[in-house]
Amino acid sequence: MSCKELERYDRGEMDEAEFMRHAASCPICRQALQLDEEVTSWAKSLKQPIEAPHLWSRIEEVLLEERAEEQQLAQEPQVEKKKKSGRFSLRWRFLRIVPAAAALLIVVGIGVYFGLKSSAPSSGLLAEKALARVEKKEQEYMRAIKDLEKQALPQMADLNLDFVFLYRTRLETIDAQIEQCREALALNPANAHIRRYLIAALQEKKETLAEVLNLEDEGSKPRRSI
Amino acid sequence: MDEEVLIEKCKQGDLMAYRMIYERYEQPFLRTAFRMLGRQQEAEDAVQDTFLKLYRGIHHYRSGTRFSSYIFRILINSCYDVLRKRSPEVSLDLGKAGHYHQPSNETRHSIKEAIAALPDQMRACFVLFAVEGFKQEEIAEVLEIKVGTVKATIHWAKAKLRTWLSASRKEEKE
Repeated sequence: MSCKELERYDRGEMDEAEFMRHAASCPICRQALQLDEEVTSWAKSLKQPIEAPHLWSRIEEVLLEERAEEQQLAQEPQVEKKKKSGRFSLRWRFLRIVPAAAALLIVVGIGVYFGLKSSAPSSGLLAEKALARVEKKEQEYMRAIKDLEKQALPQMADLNLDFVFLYRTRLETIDAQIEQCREALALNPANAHIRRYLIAALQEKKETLAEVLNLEDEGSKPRRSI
Repeated sequence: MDEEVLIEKCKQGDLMAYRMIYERYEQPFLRTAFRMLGRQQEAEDAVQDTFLKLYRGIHHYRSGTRFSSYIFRILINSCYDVLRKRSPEVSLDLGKAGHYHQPSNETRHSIKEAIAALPDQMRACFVLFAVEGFKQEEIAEVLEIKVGTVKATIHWAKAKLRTWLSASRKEEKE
């Protein structure tokens, strides 16, 4: 059973007020209006809360990754610039290496401690997809570090002994952090916090090796003095 | 905190500001994505994708346009992306744009399935209007279509759902 006015209304050829007036004297259209009200009321009832307790952690993880990539991209041209200018303050490096390494060590230490301590699933757990992405990022860092090591380590022998000591200490500290993170991740591979510390440590190592190479390129390295 | 201030903070890369935006939009986002996609995991993926796109494109956002429309547009486009990537079998279940896929007898027990069976854009219009309470002008901004088109689409959606409800009632009587 149908009504031509209802068909017109459904095609949008009749406005609501006109249709209401018609429906007052048409049982088919009155029933249609009643059904419309039911549909609207059902639709409103779908406004229920949906639980997604780990969603923000996942989003935060992705945003942090994105930011790390941006920072990496932003740093690359800066290294190029510095190479060209050939003016790297060696004293400045002395001043910033030790506190940076110490700060990183503390942050990683605390992170790994709490990461190990919490064995229950937490908001810091990575989803499978995110885990694959993070692992991929780690592998990229490892490859970059390997390449840089090939170039930087043999050349460290020619540096001022103070620098050799500083950079070796710094690299050893970072290696210890990486090792610590890897051990913690062996127990809990999906712990986002430890993954974040590992990425930070890998990034730090990459930057340190790039600095060593940069010293070489600048031709500003002091000869062995001690 | 004022939304404009939050957006400025987002433009400076402040993750806490993103979190506050997330807290404001979490539920309407999840509900809309869930109604569009029908699966919670995919809905969560779409919301995650929305925030990544927001992070990448926040500098393109100009004040003066409604932020809610801007961010919902990203969400709806993320949902469309998921639907496009689906296998044809899954797409058939939810109905392709332009073709109303009549819900099967098994699925006639729920309005949720009836809404899921609406074509994509019609479903988006209807969910934003009838579930989330958006105004037709806002929906037009989100979907980048004319207000008249929104009005007509909501009208057709209601007509289809009414037909479904009526058929469902008849079946119950038989």
